[in-house]
Amino acid sequence: MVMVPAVLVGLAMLLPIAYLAIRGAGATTEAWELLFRVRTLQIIGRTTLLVVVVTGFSILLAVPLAWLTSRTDLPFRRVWSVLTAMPLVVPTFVGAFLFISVLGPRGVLQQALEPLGVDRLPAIYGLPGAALVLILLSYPYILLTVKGAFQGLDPALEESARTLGHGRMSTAFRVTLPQLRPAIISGSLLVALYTLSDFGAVSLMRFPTFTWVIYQQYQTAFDRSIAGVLSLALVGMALAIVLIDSYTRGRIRYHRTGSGASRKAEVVRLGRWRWPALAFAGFVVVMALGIPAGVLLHWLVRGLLVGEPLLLLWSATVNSLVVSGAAAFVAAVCSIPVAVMVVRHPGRLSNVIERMSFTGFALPGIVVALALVFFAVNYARPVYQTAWLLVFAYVVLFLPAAMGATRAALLKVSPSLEDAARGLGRGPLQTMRTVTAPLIVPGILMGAALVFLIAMKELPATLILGPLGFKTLATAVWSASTEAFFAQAAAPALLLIVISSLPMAFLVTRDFGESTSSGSDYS
Amino acid sequence: MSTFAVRCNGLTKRYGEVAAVEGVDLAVQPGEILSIVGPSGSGKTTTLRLIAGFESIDAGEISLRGEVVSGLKTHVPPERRRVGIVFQEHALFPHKTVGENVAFGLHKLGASERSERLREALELVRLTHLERRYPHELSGGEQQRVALARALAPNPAVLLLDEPFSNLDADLRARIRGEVKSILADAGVTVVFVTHDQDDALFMGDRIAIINEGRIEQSGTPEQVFHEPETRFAAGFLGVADFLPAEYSNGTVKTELGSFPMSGESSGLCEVMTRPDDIEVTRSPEGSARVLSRTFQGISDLYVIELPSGAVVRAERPHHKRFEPGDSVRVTVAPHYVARCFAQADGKLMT
Repeated sequence: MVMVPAVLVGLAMLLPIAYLAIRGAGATTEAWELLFRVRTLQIIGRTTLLVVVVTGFSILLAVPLAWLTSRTDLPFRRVWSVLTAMPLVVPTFVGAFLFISVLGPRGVLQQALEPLGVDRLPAIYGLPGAALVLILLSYPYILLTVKGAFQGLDPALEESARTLGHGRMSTAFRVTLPQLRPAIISGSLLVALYTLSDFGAVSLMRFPTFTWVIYQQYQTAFDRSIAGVLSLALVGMALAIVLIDSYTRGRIRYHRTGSGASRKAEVVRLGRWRWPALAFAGFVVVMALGIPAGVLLHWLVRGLLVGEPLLLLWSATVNSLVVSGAAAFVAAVCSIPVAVMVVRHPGRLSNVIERMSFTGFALPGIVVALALVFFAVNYARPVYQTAWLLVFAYVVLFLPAAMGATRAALLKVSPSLEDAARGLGRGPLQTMRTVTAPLIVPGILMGAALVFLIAMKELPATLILGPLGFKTLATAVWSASTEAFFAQAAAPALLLIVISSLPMAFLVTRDFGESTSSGSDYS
Repeated sequence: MSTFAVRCNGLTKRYGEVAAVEGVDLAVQPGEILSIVGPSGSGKTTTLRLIAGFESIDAGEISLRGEVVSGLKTHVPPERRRVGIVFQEHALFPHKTVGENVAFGLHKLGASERSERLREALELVRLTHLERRYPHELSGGEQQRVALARALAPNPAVLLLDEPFSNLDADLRARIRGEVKSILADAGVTVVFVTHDQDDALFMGDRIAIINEGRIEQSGTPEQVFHEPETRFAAGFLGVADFLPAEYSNGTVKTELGSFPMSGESSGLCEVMTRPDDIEVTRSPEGSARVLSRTFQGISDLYVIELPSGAVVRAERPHHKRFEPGDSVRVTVAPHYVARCFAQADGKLMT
């Protein structure tokens, strides 16, 4: 019963990448030759460098922060716990324009230093600027996965190591860190893919990695298959990252071998180390949240004072809400048959469908957008230049987020619950309505909220697939900041952050409630 | 004095207002197995964690082999106490093989001695053939033995076992319990074993300490604590016991089942303990007691009998002397019965 819709969803998700591959095979020879030119190698080199730098520094920030906020008596730990996760709601193009306006050659910082005789700051464009923004805004992916791992860690492992004669340091390196490794790896995978597909930071920081070059090619070059071939190369890099990830997981399994209630781990007393710890957490939060927020307010006030028109803002807000809301709804609905198939009818077919529905996870937004442009121009003219195509692109890109939530919700409903309802005389549909649905709806809503949050921030697909003259908050911020109209960018940027924080708050409080209710099982 | 492997004096640990452990005294001879048994929340695991050094104490003193490891001013960290511990969940390092797990505590030894000790430890638990496996590839019983080998390999001053059998189902449990006991005997190690299960405690322990609400109720050999309980709690916790209201005065205790001479001089209201094998039942139409139920146990039957006052006792009778619910019977105590009498006020043994 669920097989047909599940297969259809899977195939639809595969459409962009499949079409791109077909097109690539038929691309002009010039396009393929271009791929092997020195310039392409440079792009690959720059992109790789950016991914490595961002991922590396993100680990260095995230792992200590995760430890401080989950295992120690850091003062105001709960506050830090929320603040350090918050940069996730700041889109990279917002972060980039704010950092440019502060640290740029004649930015806010330079103006503040003017009386001291500083009339120019070194340029932050290029690798340093792009890396700085991406590190500060994406390290929370690793932070959150590592914190999750800390919670699941059986304290008896560390205690065993202690009684076997290993001190705190030795235990940390030989037992705790190896246990965190899978979480660090999967968080790093998220950061690496995020960096690879980022368009906002690299375009504003003028660091020509794949996404930025592809966009320029698409906008300017006559031969669009060059952009197509470059996209395929980018997909290749994404695939390589995913493969490296699954390779590093290896044979070792990292789960608790026993079952039953776990205790809460002992809280580490920082003593006089709490001052450097506070300074470290404070530094990260000021850089990733404080400076952006302060500068945003600065530009907002400036903009209001000179009377920036707010009319445009209204239609951009409505556009953002409508397309993101539609994408959230469609993604949530599509996730149901796939999740039911995967959870309730495991097998080879479900496996394939699951993989297909996860393609968007590794695909950069710009690649999906380009593929859909090519496809629509040739085979689906009526949807070309409509919001429908944009919503479809969002669904391809963000279905994995909805899938994760729906599947987790479904896994919590044991089939015996449904069997019990059947045994009590309810038919299959009645069972669905009275037992299964009430139990999984909260999970599905959570997935939808997540999709909404990410879709609000999506930039390249929106730029490429949005109908002519179609502005969203994201594109409004981006086009104003590419022209350095920072005051104009401030209002939509703030709105974007506020609106996308709402579902985030929902997710965080929900998470928080669950962790405190299960956290009291100390015996 | 210094001959004790483990000695706790007045051990006290508070969490905020609540005392998890209060004034606990324990002494374990070298090579002895002490079972600490009590209901959940009684403070037995806290006691174990205090001995291991995972928590600091609020009052009292702990010494291992005569050396003070926890006191008001001293707290030797766990890694320098030479205690071995086996957790309920085994806590094997999932990223290390069986061999690496067992060798984990041998890091201060030279290579040749380390491999020698690893070999010995694996032989002791008969798992040499699994040295290169990972923990998740082992059965529950094998994981248990790896955890034992890992804890024993560094030759600890005392081995602490925290509910090691409570994850196992009944069949496996009886077998593994026997295996563990023989491994511990071979190793000749001093053991403190914590459990909520009285069968495990009686089976494993050379001596038993019953703990309740953070205090030791009684300690002694299994026979002593079972047959000569010193508190009402200890009497009720181990085995099946019923308590009849009674009055103690002038060297006798008066109960519904008759009066028994007592050696002491106490007086006051109390309760007298009976166990099912202390009670004899005879069929009698004039009998004033009534059979409420019968539970089939195979070799014997367990009866619940209501006395005229409404008090209830349980009696175990051979299967060939059968009564049915509703039968009128006469209840007496067996000739071997010795009354044990607990004060109603504080549950302490009256003498």
